[in-house]
Amino acid sequence: MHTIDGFRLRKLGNEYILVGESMALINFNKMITLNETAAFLWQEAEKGAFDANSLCKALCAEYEVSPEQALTDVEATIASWRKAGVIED
Amino acid sequence: MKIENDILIPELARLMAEGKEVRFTPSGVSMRPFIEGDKDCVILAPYTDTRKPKKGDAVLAKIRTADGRTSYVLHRLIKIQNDGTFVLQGDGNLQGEEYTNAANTYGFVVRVERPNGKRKCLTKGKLWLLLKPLRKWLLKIYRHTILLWFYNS
Repeated sequence: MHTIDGFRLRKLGNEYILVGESMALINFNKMITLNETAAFLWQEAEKGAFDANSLCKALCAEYEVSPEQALTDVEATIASWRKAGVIED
Repeated sequence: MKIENDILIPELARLMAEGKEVRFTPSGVSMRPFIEGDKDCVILAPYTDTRKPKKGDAVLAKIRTADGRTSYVLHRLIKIQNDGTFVLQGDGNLQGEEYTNAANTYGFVVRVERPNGKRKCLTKGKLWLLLKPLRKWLLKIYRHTILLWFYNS
């Protein structure tokens, strides 16, 4: 899987959002909010091709969390990204 | 999914200052009938050296409210005074004006779209301004006709 070009992570106040952007137009109507964990995962995902396992590894390295919990969180996050249309295979 | 205006609008302003256009759905009824809040979406473009604020623009601006707080509005620029003060008023407001200046006016509406994606006619609002004495009744008619027909409210 990889992230779709044109979605950029922005921090607004204490919230993280993903906004659809082209060169000249930022589309706040195509916006999803992310919590801190999801924002971290997105930054990892942006680095290149990823899957649930690679994100899980990154999450465990950064946060104190059990591998099982990490996998649950990662899979839920990936599902929400897929639903929002910000990632593709 | 909704970000507070206090946080969103400065970001819109910042992006426009970088020369980008922004698209979002404003909330509120203060720009009826031209922009239906929470339904229509608008595209705002930044002002540039070649495109400066003009009377009739629907602008995104920072204003100071009567009790001294900072707020943001997307209202019509109805007058530019000799000292450079911008006078703003929402098309859907019966009274009340806001004051700001060029430095605090971030950009203007270049496109309005209905929820079905269809483009709405852009206007300078001259006729609407002239019809201000009738505004109360025109808005009432709008709420009972166009709003119901096109927005299923």
